[in-house]
Amino acid sequence: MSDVLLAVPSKGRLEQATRETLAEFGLVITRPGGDRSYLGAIEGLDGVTVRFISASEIARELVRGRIDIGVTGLDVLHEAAPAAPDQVITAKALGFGHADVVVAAPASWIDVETMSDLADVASDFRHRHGRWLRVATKFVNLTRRFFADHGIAEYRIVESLGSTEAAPSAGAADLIVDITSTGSTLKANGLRVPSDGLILPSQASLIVSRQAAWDAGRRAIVEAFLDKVEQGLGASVAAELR
Amino acid sequence: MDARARRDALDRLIDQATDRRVSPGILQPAELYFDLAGEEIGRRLMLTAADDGTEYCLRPEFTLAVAADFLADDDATPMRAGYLGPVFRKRQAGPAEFDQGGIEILSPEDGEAAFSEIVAFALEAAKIYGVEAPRLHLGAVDLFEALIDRLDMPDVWRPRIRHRLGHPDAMAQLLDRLTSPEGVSRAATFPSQRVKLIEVVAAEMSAAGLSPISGRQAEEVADRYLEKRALAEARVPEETVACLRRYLAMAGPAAEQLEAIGAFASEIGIDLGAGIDRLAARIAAANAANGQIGISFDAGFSPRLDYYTGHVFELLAPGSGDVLASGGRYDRLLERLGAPEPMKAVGCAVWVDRLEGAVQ
Repeated sequence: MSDVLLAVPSKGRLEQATRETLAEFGLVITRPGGDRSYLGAIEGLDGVTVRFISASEIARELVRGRIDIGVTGLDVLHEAAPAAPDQVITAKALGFGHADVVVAAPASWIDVETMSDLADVASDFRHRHGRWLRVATKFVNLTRRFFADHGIAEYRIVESLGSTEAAPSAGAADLIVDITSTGSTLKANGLRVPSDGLILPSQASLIVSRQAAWDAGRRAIVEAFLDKVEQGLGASVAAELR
Repeated sequence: MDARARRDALDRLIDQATDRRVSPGILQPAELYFDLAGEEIGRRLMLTAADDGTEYCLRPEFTLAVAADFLADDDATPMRAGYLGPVFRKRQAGPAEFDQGGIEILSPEDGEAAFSEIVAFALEAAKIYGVEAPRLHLGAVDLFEALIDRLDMPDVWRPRIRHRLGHPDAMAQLLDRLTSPEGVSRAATFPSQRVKLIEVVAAEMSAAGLSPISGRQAEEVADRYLEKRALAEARVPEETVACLRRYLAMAGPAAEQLEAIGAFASEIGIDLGAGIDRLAARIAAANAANGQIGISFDAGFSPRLDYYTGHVFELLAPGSGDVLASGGRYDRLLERLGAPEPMKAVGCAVWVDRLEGAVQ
């Protein structure tokens, strides 16, 4: 039986917050190889290997089943693959790394107050301008799902990996989908979120892969791990792992 | 007959029904598909990129590539093009690579006769796979367009309603909104006079550094704002929305539905014009072609692509209800691709793996 692999963010604020939060549950991460090692363990819990990798890689590996448990943001998870949310179990929201994924359109579009307004604008846009309405974002999967839910089909995504909020003023897109925590960046860029434009309130979460190779022994380890996080959580998650 | 022999028979059928065989490259410029169909189709594409950054997709279907080649050809005379080969799409179930065979008839003299040809082709193809009595499921984009043209409502809603045909959820959301328009919540904040309102919007745009030459202009935003305010006052009549709902709910055996649509049109006092006659002729022709098949009509059935202009159809396997073939009349496609005006065009594709699955 191989160890259960727990992946945690490898650097910065997220790593620090993950360590502190897990430690509050009595799960203390040790790094026997020192700070430059990318492998660790959990004090007093055998059978768990800790790996330090980047948050987006954690999401991808969870979906593929190459790691068993991971700490990553829900926004990142949704972008790993369109079917990602079905391939994992979100076991516990960890209360840090809060960020909202939102739709934001120019504040000067005074006629746009709701997503229905955007649906009308999108529907009229092509005829008027000879091209699709363009949405800049790195959240391609979330955008497609949310726009489809609001009946919007007449648009195109422009992939944007950084400074998305500047896309409308740069003429690269007409509106954006991006993360915001306080809204001040959006405001500074003359953007406004429609009243029903919140796509996903995201935060760092403890996520278990359904795709990993689960056997009785490994399930028992995950159960013990999760029971430390919250009494009874282990059994309810383990029951879904087959 | 084994699977190989059936595929060979399908191959021969395609040859008989067409005057040339086309095989567009498996690697296609992704831009072509995004441009025509936007994100809804774009999300299904298997994408890849060349060293110079050009985005390609694996051929997701044949129609667009065939139509684009047709237009690029200088002496494009009426053409019956046939194809058979793999297409690639991201799907929720089923493999991402599967075979499609089909025909596209571009710029025929008689569009209605050409439509009969593609239905006959689909029926013959089904027969090769032992499906003698599939169900022919019909829709009529032309009838719906005629109806929204003639119903009483502010003009701005007509194209928006048309764009949602074939997407029942989006259509339902829109129809709900028609009866209770949102209006504007910040009415007091902005001037009512158009010229002043445009100034306000333009000032806000320039303060935010929005480009004054691309995208929505101040006039457009101001006009839609005023339109929204006006629409909240002058609502779409309840009867109009009720008519749309009633029409879109019409689905069932084709002969019955045809009669119901006729009765409905005369009851609401709207002349649906030649559309009704075309549908009657279509049903009669299909009956004459194969007396065994059941024919159904669904007023809300359409691909959600606005280049379809007339009848659309699916051939469904008896029992499983699998879509074995689908096609339709798409006179606006060639125009979209650069032709100076709409050109008659019909086409149909059969799903080889589903046909094979229907073999007893």
